[in-house]
Amino acid sequence: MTEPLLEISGLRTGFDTYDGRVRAVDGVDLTVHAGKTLCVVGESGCGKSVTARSILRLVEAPGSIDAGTITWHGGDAPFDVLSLDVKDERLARLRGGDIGMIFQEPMASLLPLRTIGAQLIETIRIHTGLDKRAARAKAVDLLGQVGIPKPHERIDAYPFQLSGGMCQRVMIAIALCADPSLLIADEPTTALDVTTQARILDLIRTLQAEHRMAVMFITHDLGVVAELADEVAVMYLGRVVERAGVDELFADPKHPYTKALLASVPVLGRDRGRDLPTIPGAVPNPLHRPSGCSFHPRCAEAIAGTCDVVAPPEVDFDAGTGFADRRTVECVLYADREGAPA
Amino acid sequence: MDVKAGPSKTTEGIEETARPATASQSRLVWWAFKKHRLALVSAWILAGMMLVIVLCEFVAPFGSRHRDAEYTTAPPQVLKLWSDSGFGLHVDGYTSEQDPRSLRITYEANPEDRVDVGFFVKGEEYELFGFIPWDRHLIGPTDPDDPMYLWGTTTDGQDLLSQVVYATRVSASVGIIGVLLAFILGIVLGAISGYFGGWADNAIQRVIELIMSVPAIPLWLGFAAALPADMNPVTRYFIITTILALVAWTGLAREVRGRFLSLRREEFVTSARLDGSSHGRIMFRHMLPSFSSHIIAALSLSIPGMILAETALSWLGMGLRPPAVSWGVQLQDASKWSVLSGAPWLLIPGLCVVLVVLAFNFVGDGLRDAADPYKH
Amino acid sequence: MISYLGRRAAYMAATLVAISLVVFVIINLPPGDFVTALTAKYNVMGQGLTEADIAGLRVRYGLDGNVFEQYWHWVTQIVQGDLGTSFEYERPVADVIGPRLGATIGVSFVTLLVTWGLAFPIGVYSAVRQRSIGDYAVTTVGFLGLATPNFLIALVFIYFSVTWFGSVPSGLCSPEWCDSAWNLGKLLDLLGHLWIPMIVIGTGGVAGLVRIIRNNLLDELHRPYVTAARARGVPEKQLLRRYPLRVALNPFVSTIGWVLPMLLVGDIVVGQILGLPTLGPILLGALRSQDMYLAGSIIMILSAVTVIGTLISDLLLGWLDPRIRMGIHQN
Ligand SMILES: Nc1ncnc2c1ncn2[C@@H]1O[C@H](COP(=O)(O)OP(=O)(O)OP(=O)(O)O)[C@@H](O)[C@H]1O
Ligand SMILES: [Mg+2]
Repeated sequence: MTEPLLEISGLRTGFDTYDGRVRAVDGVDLTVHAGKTLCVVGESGCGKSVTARSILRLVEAPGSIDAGTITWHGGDAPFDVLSLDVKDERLARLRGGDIGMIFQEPMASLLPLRTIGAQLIETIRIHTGLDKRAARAKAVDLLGQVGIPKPHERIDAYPFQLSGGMCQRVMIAIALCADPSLLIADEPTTALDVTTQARILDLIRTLQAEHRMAVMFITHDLGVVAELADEVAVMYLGRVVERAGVDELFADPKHPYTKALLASVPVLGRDRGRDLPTIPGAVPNPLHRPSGCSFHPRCAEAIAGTCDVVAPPEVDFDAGTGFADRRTVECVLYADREGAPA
Repeated sequence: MDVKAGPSKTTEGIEETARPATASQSRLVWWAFKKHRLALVSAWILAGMMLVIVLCEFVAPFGSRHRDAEYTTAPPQVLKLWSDSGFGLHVDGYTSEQDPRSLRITYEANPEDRVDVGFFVKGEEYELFGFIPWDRHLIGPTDPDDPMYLWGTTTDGQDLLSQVVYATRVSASVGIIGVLLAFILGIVLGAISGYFGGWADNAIQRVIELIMSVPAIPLWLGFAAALPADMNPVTRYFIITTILALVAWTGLAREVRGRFLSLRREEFVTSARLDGSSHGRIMFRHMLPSFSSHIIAALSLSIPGMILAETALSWLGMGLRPPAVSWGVQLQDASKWSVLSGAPWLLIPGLCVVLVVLAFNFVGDGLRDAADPYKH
Repeated sequence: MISYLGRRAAYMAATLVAISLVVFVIINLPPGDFVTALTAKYNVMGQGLTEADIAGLRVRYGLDGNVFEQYWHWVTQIVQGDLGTSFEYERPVADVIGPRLGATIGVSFVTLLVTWGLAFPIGVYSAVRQRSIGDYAVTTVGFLGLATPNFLIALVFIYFSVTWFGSVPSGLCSPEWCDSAWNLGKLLDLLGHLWIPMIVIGTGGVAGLVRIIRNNLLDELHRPYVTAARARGVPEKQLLRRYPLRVALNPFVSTIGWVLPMLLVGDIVVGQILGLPTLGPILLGALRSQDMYLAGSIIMILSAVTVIGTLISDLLLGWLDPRIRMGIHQN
């Protein structure tokens, strides 16, 4: 097993609204290992983006991070990102330096009034201290690497002159400009058409191998998970309900929510001509979190009197082995397995 | 995205069922609006203003033509409950003194001269709503001939309070009627533009752009000035209102167009079209109601401009003219600095302008925010 | 850019034509025409005009053709610099307006600069420090400023000036300086007088602009591109300046179009009370006495200035925003 690069533990992030505080992320534990890909999956609104933003301290008012630690192991000495001062150099180096980040809407993530070159060169210069000429040369080189044709011309284009896919490539180039050890990709392909999606995924995979970086990939597409992931974290309503290696997860999902998610994905051959099961009900408003296990109102295996009353324990299937916290489930169904090696 | 449904603080079922997530759009907007405290207070102020407009003959202590030549530019009086002659709501009468050289009369409160004041007193006769003859006034001197000028008097010796009440009816209604006129134009053209798109949209947009780039205010000054001076006040009122509306409709038309554009491809519109509903029905029965809060907000935000324009126009002598009273007309009284320096209460109509304009702005802002929960 | 420029210029020309039509209508709205009014005036004064005089005047003002000929006559005269004759002053309109045009443009220009100079930093501060005490103060004052007609500000100002100092400061210069040549003393004196009309005329403008820049910046501050720039390590100050501020500058620049007429109208409203040697009081007098050539010409000039202001702001916008420059529609 490789070294942990980023460890999130007990992260809580909330938003103040008129109706009270929304606990968007409510105690999340995650680990990204160096050079590996962690996929975070979950329905819309379950707190994936907020988790990702919390890592780089990008949560803005009315939101704030309430508790937890985010430990970065990529530097000389590990440190807690959340305890840094906003002006701390280490935070500045993380943002865009050690950690690159790309977003769901590539077009909107670039300022339309400045050329992509200007925005790319700016980032290169912030993190490498190159002079203008050298930074421009590096920018052209990066644009070439991410597969933009005629990079020396395109560098002077404005974002609105490029397609969404091309913009996402530019964003990737920007994220790569200081050779990060972690790339956080927050649904980078959701806004793109299918062929472009596949190309961007390929690109990310190739670049990951070339640059030997870890990737934290956020998606709600299980197909993408199967293709990319080394490890998977399943989120529901601000919590990680199941963590597993990708093969284990698909072969043997434990949490009822994971099972339901997997069942709702069509499998070629198997599902021809039959209705796919869907998860009944909708994701509850995080303001009105159900008591007990927050999944119980939609859960097929819920136990009345238990699931709606007590919060489910976190069961660690690898406890006692050298791989603690690799395979965990938050569900009473496995409570008796607590502490028992899988 | 999650719609923030209802202010249900508890997670218990009772609240949830009482305020289901399927609450109508207007209920949702109303809940959000109520949280905007300033807007709520403003809404009450406007409600009060509406009452004053409707009941103005009753609210005003004196009739619109009441003049007391004995008390010109007399200062405001203070309502008192207790004097040497006993308990009871009253004000002090005036003693006057004329400066022999400037001939200027100054008034002092005279505690000896007690003017009893009552609610629902008999006073000048009037016709409520234009047809119910009555003679009661909300507040007034028990003897209608006594001087009771709570906000002082004008240079003509008219009761300022009464005049402000009458002016409120005129000035506020210019704003409201003007905006409604502008709204009709704006909504018809904006709807056509946004719903049909294509060349109709193009043509209307170009015209709007052209009108918007014409500096409006000097032009309406010119139009207003070209009206004959001896025009009947009612005609003048309507013409001025129309002039203001002709300038204001473009902004509303753009707002409406934008809304129609964004809705044009929504499913419910497509399905209504497939059902064979007529264009007019789709536009005004299906689409318009779905953004009525935005429209009301836009209307509320356009009224201040109208009121301010009418006030400035009338104050300049280009808008309404005496005997019509509006806040602007009243403020003419205060424009001579020799008068103003001795009679600051003449600026009270200006306070009314500020108050009402602020109230419309806050209500409009509150509504807009409530209608657009995602903006925040 | 060239085609953009061409489009804007064509627009400007169309607008000017539209305005000239409306002004022509205004001039001709009052019953009777210039010569009949003049004849009536002379008759009252007991010095009747001869038939020949009247006929000559009618030709001079092109009053005998149909409406289109009259309009054409009027427009061509204006283009040649002949603005007609003031009925009140019995002098060419150009002579009445000329000396005051400079002061008007001067006062408006200085006010415009001060308005922007104040509004921009205040608006930015208020947006960046949203919900701070300073922001609440700015917003409150802004709401009041927008809700108060500027003549009311002038009246309140006068009231306090009279009760505290016993007099009203008026005009643009003190008597001792008015006729002297330009020097430092006169400049200081001018500045000493200028701040009053500036406050009165500019308050509404500052309030409106602060609101615009604040709202736009608030919108921009939470756009994805801001988060993305922050995520790649752009330092906060640089981030504000290079990203959201650049976008929020657009609506600010496009306000030239309406700030300028607003200032000019402010001048109409308060020039009177403050006794400014500007066009405002003349226009007002002309409108009151239905001296329509004079009024029409002033309106035409004010409109032209506004349209030119709009053109300038369009050009600035094109320069600032590549999307506008390249003719790409937003939203
Ligand atoms: N600015 C905000 N103000 C209030 N609540 C917010 C805000 N941003 C996020 N939230 C809340 O946080 C919750 C999680 O949001 P988040 O964006 O992380 O979801 P997500 O899992 O990324 O969903 P998606 O797949 O749609 O991107 C949402 O339910 C929302 O209510
Ligand atoms: Mg997301």
